[in-house]
Amino acid sequence: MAIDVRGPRFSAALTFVVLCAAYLLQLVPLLALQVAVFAVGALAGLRWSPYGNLFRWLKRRLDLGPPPATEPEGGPRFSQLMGLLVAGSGLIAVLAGIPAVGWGLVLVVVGLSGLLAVTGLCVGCEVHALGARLLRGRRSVGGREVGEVAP
Amino acid sequence: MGARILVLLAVVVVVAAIAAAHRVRRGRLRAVGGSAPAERGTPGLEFLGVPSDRPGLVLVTLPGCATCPAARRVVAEAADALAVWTREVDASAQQEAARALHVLRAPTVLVVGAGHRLLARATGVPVARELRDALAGSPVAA
Repeated sequence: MAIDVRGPRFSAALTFVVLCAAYLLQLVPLLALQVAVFAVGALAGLRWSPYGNLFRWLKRRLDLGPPPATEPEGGPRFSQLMGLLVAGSGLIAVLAGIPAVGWGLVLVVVGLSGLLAVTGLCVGCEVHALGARLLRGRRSVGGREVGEVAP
Repeated sequence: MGARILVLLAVVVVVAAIAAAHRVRRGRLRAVGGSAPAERGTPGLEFLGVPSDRPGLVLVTLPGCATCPAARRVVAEAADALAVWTREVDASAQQEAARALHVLRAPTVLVVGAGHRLLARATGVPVARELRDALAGSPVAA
């Protein structure tokens, strides 16, 4: 599935805002909400991603026009999985009574989502492309991802 | 709250620094192995069958890559201005060549000299002036 390249950046900006708010106000339910959003995107696919759907709705309402470019779903979806693992671990750590570790992990996600939102540099996609390359070296799978540079 | 605002600001500063460094490096041409013997050529280029008697530009792309159209335009303009050959390689169709040329991302532009010698490479949308300089034989910042 090919997706609009603006989608992941919009989602990253929203993730950044939500996690900043959760950290500043120490709102654990808000953190849990973001972890749930990551889980839906990573496990069910970006088609079901709440932020992705919000982006598509806004796109129609505001008439943002056709995508400037599209990209395969794999990279961004893997990034959602990375977000789920890191922010999810953070949530567990906070709930387990080690908030310094938990919020530290959340801040890592804050940094990465901020980077994607502002520059289009998607670290999760880079990791995904690197992994695909290594796998391909071992067992030659046909694939299209050599690693895209987002705008 | 005050301490958390400071921590968040620190995170933003670090991210901004990484973003700035990335923006400066992206699309900039880097010289390639200046000490390599000219007569040896580059295996990936022989594989592609591009001309070896005169310089040119190889552009490696992927279907659906966001910045490839812009890179394609810059490469075409530079090639037109200097009357050199160009060859676009779809990395998804020609994985062997892309791997032999050590291309890890799309778009990547390779400046090829006579004798299949790799002169310089850029990842991302190249800077037109740098492409022209490299093709004209001017030194490229290492």
